[in-house]
Amino acid sequence: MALIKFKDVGIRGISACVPKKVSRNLDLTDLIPAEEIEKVISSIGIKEKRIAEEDVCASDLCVKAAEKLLTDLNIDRNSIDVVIFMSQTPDYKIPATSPSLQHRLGLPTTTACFDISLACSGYVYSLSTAFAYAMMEGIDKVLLLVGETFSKIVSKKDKVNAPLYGDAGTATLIEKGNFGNAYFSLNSDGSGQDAIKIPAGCFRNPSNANNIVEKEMEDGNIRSEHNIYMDGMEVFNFTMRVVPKDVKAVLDFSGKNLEEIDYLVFHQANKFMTDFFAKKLKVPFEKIPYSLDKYGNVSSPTIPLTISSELNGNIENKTILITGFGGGLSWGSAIADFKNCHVSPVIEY
Amino acid sequence: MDKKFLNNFEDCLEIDNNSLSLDTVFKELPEWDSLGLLNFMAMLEDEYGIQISRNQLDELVTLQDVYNLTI
Repeated sequence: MALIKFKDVGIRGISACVPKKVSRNLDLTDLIPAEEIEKVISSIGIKEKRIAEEDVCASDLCVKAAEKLLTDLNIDRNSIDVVIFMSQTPDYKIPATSPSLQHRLGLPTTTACFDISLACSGYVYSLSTAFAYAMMEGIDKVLLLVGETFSKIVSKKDKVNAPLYGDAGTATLIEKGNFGNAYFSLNSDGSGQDAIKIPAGCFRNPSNANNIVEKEMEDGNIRSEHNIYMDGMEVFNFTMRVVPKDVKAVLDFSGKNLEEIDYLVFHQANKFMTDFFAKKLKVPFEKIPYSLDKYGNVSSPTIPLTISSELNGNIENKTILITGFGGGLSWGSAIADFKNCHVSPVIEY
Repeated sequence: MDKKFLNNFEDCLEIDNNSLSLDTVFKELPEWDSLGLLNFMAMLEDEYGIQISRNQLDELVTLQDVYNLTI
């Protein structure tokens, strides 16, 4: 069981960067009939997303977010001890992206760098890793860079995924200090590994001439096996089953109740799902920030992006519960006090 | 009880209450679409603590079939 408590480490600052280019869901009429599109938009809560240009990667968005955060907080770059890059859309299969981020950000070669790969639970998981490093003797500051460019792996002819996903890069600085306790609950269920998947292109099912070709799949959706597939029913069942329970589990573990939580920041999957959680948990809507309408579902960076977009200027000394869930299947929740946390507003690339 | 079940189902598809019966072949209703399906799944979980898989859904024809899952 992975219930984890940390003390005397916390989040010093958060920043986020999105591409300038806007993709509006109202323009998806080639894919979804015009008479349905407004109903779809109102249900998923996504009006538009930001889409990276062809030559812009998740790492580029993260570098810009990190530059902003390090400047806003006036951080000496020699004081960064660890860089973690959490993404499923890295620059290359080999090498890992994080060493290049050390170099690009002008950090010392004594910086420990490694990548983590998880889907929409990635922020909660990698935050726990960052907290664990920050608690270690010898480590003071950890720079966590969480970014994705799902626009590059979504088929534009897949009506399940095309309206949902956008791109973003974020930076979170974690350090030792008088932050109080933080609590994490981390979970996995690999029996559901097929629910969200890019079936080909790695080593179980390497690229070949057949699997790179777009084909008509279920319900008329067209994509190749290098595009992301999601079984919407399976994923919805999974989230209904685990997310409210995990929120309660981390609350129980922390000894807090929902009234003591100022904000619940859910992974921004879609509005229908978040509304379901709010109703199920009986949480007032004003405690639940949404950034879906502007940025869509950007996978793992949704939580820091939502904090940067919706809570900047309004987070100091607040207690926040975050929950991420998605491919793997993988899910996790955390509760932390945002004492003296600086949140930079969202910037554009 | 079946009346409450029917009203719950009608609410999912935003259909006037008391307009459907247990004989209704629900997937043939013009209101049955992907968003109706989400509402339907959320209602089953919320009201009855039931989750249905894609295979189970394929086998359900009338609202009687769905109602049988709830009792």
